[in-house]
Amino acid sequence: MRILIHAIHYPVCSARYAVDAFKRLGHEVYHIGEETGRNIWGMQVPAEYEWKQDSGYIAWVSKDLKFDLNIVMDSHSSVLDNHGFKFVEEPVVVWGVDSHVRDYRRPYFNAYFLAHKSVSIQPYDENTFWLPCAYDPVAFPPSPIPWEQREYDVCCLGFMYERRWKIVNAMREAGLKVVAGCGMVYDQYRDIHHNSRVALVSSFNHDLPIRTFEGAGMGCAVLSDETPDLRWLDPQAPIVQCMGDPDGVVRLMVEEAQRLQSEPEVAEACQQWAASHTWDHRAQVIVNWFTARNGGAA
Amino acid sequence: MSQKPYLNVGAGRVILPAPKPAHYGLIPDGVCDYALWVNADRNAQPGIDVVEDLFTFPWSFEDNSFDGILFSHFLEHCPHEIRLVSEMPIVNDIPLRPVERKTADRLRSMQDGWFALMYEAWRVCTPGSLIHILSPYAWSDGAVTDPTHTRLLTPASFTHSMQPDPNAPFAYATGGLHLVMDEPPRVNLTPAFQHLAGQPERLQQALNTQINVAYEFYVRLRVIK
Repeated sequence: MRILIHAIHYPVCSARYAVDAFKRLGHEVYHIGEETGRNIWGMQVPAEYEWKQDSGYIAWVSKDLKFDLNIVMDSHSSVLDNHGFKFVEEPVVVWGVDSHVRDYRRPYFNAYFLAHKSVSIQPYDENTFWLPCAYDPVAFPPSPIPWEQREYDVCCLGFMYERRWKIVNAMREAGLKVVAGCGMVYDQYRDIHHNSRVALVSSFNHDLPIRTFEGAGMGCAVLSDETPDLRWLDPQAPIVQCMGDPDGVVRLMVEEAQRLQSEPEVAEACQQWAASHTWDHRAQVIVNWFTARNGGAA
Repeated sequence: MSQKPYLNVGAGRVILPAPKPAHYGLIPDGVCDYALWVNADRNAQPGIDVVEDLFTFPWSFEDNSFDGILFSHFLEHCPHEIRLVSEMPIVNDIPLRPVERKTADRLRSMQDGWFALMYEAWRVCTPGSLIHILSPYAWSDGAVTDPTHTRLLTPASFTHSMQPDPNAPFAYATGGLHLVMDEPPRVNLTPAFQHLAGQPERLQQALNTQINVAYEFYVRLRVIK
């Protein structure tokens, strides 16, 4: 199948993972969209992480190449409101990881695959399907560092809003060695997780983010606040969830982070669980939808 | 690894990463949250990673060691003389370090301690890095009355001889550093002039002609290599 993915080309974005996933599944994939160069999150990443659109741009404009499926993987209006989609014959679907903060509905989209269910602001109808986030097993393989030799007790990598700092500071005051902050991408992000025993995931929306799957896949014990979608996805998931009032959750997270230091089996269970939650698995769902729509032909 | 830490020069008691302190208001969100920092100061305090007098040169860091630098209320203290780490009297038990003849000659040839400092910042940063600067605004009580301030700075201080310019009427010896201001500077206004915040032309006129209009400014420089 020949696929064209539409997204702003940030150095780090779900579209980039999706391109690789579809390619691993054996499909011909192109990608098109505005390039942001090295800029993301108000900083610059090393030049090697830039993501440039490929010849899909020319193919889209010249219409020399016919695509079987268009996938829109961005919540920015410059992508969603591209009226060129009105004149496209082949199906156009949305694969949205920001459905907890974005409504992707437009008249010209054939289906929606949304990452969030219980916290989705877009209602589900017959053309809307739940497709949770996942992780890239090639970019973020399991940690090769033995449990006892990992440098950090806890890692918390991402945008550090106030709640995350509160949890991190409480952990540090309790004597845990915590690495926290934003700006780490790919190799550095991977290396820090590989060197950590616990991955702390705290989302103010109580959504199920990519970070949960990445931390698990890299062999960390994942410690999270309450995540309703995780209970929907797999009630038996080995992710440790802390529930209660905000201050109670902070105390509980400190206790659980301390407990998990001596329980590598939790991290092993997380890693095995994550093996079924890669971007490849998610991409296959979209392929299956397309196949069924075409009467069995892909 | 490709990503390098940021350097917090003259960290003092502000150890990064940390929630952005209130007095760092002009610094963009996210800078203080960057996960990897090297906190450097000449006083050994909890959280300081490198104890070094960064007004002596050369710095101990290798070329291209950092992806960013923060100078928060540091540069206005920069001495005019160029002090080498091999010659300074020992302060705070910081040991002297030998300096290669070639490096010493290069440093001593610079026009002023200012250029030695800015050259070192440029040298230790990777291409494209950002240098974040927070300083008292020259024409304000805070800038003038502090006896440890050796120089008065405005945003214009960072457009003067910061990049090679064959057409410049004078050629200060800068070691060849190349820094460009890649966004407009920001200022913190004193209460009496808050009303000019949304009036850029009137604000600029006031800054050009009156004192105590702004008490602090922020500029961001990009490292060109």
